[in-house]
Amino acid sequence: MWWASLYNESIKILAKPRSYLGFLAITLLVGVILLALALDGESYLDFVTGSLEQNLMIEGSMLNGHLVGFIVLQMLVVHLPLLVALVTGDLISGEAAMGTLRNLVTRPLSRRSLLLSKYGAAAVYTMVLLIWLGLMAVGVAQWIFGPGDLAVLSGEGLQILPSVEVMPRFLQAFALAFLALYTVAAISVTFSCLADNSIGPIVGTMALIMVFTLIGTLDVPLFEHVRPFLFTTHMAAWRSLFLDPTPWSDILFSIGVLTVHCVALMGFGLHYFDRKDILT
Amino acid sequence: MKNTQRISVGLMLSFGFFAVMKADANAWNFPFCDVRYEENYGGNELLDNDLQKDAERLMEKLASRLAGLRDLQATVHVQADVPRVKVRPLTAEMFFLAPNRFRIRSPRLALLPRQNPMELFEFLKGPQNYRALAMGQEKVRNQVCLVVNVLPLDGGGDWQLIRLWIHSETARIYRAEMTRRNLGTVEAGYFYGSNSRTVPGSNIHQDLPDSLLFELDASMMKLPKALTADLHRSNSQAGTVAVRPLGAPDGKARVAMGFRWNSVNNGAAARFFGAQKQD
Amino acid sequence: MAHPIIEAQGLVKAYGSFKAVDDLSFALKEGSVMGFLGPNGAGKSTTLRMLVDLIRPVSGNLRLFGLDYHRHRGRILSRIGCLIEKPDFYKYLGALQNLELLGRASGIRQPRTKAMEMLEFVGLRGREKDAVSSFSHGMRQRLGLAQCLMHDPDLIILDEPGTGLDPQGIVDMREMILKLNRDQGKTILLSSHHLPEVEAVATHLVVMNRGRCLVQGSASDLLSQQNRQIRLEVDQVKEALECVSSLLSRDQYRLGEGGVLHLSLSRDKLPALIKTLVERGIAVYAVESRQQLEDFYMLILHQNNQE
Repeated sequence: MWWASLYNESIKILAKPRSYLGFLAITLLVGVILLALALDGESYLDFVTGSLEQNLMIEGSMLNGHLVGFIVLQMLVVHLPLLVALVTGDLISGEAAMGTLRNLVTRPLSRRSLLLSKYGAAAVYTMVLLIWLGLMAVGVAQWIFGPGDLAVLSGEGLQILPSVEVMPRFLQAFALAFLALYTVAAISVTFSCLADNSIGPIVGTMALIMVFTLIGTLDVPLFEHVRPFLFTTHMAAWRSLFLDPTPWSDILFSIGVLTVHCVALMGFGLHYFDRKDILT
Repeated sequence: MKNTQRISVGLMLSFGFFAVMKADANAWNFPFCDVRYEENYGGNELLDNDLQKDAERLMEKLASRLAGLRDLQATVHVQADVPRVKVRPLTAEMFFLAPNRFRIRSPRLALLPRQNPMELFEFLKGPQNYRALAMGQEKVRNQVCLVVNVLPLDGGGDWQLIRLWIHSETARIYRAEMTRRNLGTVEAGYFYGSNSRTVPGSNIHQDLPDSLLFELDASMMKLPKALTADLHRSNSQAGTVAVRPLGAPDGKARVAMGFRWNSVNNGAAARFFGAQKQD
Repeated sequence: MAHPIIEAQGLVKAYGSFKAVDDLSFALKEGSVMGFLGPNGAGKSTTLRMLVDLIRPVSGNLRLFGLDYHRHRGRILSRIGCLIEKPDFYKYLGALQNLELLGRASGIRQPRTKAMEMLEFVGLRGREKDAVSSFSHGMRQRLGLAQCLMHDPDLIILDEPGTGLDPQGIVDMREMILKLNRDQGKTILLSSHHLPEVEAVATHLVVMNRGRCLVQGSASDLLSQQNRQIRLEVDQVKEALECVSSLLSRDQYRLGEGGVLHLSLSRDKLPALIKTLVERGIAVYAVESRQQLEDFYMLILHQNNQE
């Protein structure tokens, strides 16, 4: 029954025009970024490596498919939560607003299974969106710019990773980015259980991300102890997979924090939805 | 203060490579995996000779030998040590065709000094371009070297001043301090070992260095901070790039290059640049 | 003897201090059609929602098909088909896709085949690929009935199925309900404000007001127990009222529009009343005697509101 429900949810997501907004937005944004980098990427890199190249020269092209893919990911992962919340925030509340939730809840499928299938559909959507981003960002960029060593600029400096190591790191990074985005999806689906309109959970999710990001950014001693446990602190943890050596303890901690968030949110959502009166 | 700095840099370059062979899949006999300067400087030793005559003799010898360098192809192993930059050692191909065609063909991104290793040799080939002044004698890596100031005669040219430490017997360059108009001051250590090669026509063995170590000023090298913020990592967690593989001091960058001279004057570079031109 | 399909005892649903359903008890026997009546806000929809687990009672006991709801929710819901309030569907999907989807959620193995059957049954064959957004209200109502019947339920709960239908649609819906009950033996719980529609099909009645059950039982029993509704046209209205007031209690008569008197009294008292009026010189032009659900319903509510 759960699989049947997951199948149903996937069909609904596929049939909804809103679901394609994310893909369209990614395609447009990636297209714009790729075009800009193809036309003026060297200037962008000069900004990064300009002072370095006063005394040193970089043999080989830094502007390659791997770097472009990384830049695109870095730029777009910030926007992905909105695109994910746009669809996942609507999964329950949208049905409540439309009145179709009545039809579903009065079926023999348990409410928990129903909600779990919604969480499952949110995972599928998030993954497909991320795969699309990966294909566009890494695949198309490689096709246009070709492969090469990846120069990564982090808080710790510039690192150059050999080309052969980049793709496995991209795969790991996508897996971690998926977990981070799925946390956003879990928030919006859970919020969706609480509301009877579509817009509330989407706005609520984005507001929560903004507040947590603000708390994470503010250099206030009060927030010092809270910051490591906010999911927003770990949204960009995927970037650590491009550090050499890979800081696995940090990454495992990020995975832990994100997983705890997901499990807690889903647990709360299931508990709440199981007892919720469907009044719409 | 400036003198102290100069002396300390000189000391560092004077001390030899401390090479530790690392297990390398390619079995490269290059010392750049872990290069350190030794700290056991024994002190300068001035010898009571006619230094200027010696300097002129050595420079003449050097120039005549370098004049034989026309076409080089080498496999080069590069390791860079730049503040806040981490790049792994890599192996590339180097081509040089006199007078000024130089290219390092690398399958990967390589950080190299702006001044290529052959530029000094090319300049020194023409004794009519400079005047050599003996400055004394110093020991470099326990070898007695003549310190020679090379003053370019073209005051408006790129080369401003070159100070060389030349081995008194072999006329090999052990150390160089080069000041150029566009590139500032670059220091280089020249090392000779099992991969060194004799320049054809020379009666002195192993004139092409086994390896080179460049040291450059990196105090102006900055990375834009706006692009480097990592929310999820605290400053205390940072440090993976802080490792200095060649032990370069603060504010300095080093690039080590190890050579395997595959072809000397056999036309490999000419073929390479010829093919490039056709492309 | 037929088994009770629904056994509700002391159901209470409260929102804060407001009790939408207050100590409601009723039973529905297998094979019957129950008319669920009451004014807006009486608690009908809340009760129906409790029956299909859309909302949970705060207290009371609810058993369906002899099973406890807490322990056998899935089994119970697999035997119920419902159309609660208006028929809502995924507007961006076609009629067939909507039914397939709901069929799959009900555990039907071949949802497409079943969906096509249902579309045939409700007369929507040929429109199966059209988006529901292009459907009229009547078509959606029929599609709603189709989704309700998809999994061949034993109990059908219909909440205002005739709303928005044209006269032909109302007749069709009534015929369909009768067909389901008589031919297929389905037990039906029908909530509607359209009393003639209920009167035409209901075998049992429940009347609710303010969250409570006012009356329940067999439709024929309830209607026959009550006074008849008399419509009296006379020439001297004032004198006639004086005469009536001396014979009947205040809640048994009222003056309607055009000087028509509406009386509520048992059949055997009518001749004596007519005789008294005539003796007092009051001309009686017309006497209409009715016993209809509408009157019964209005009377029950009238009495309840006066309490």
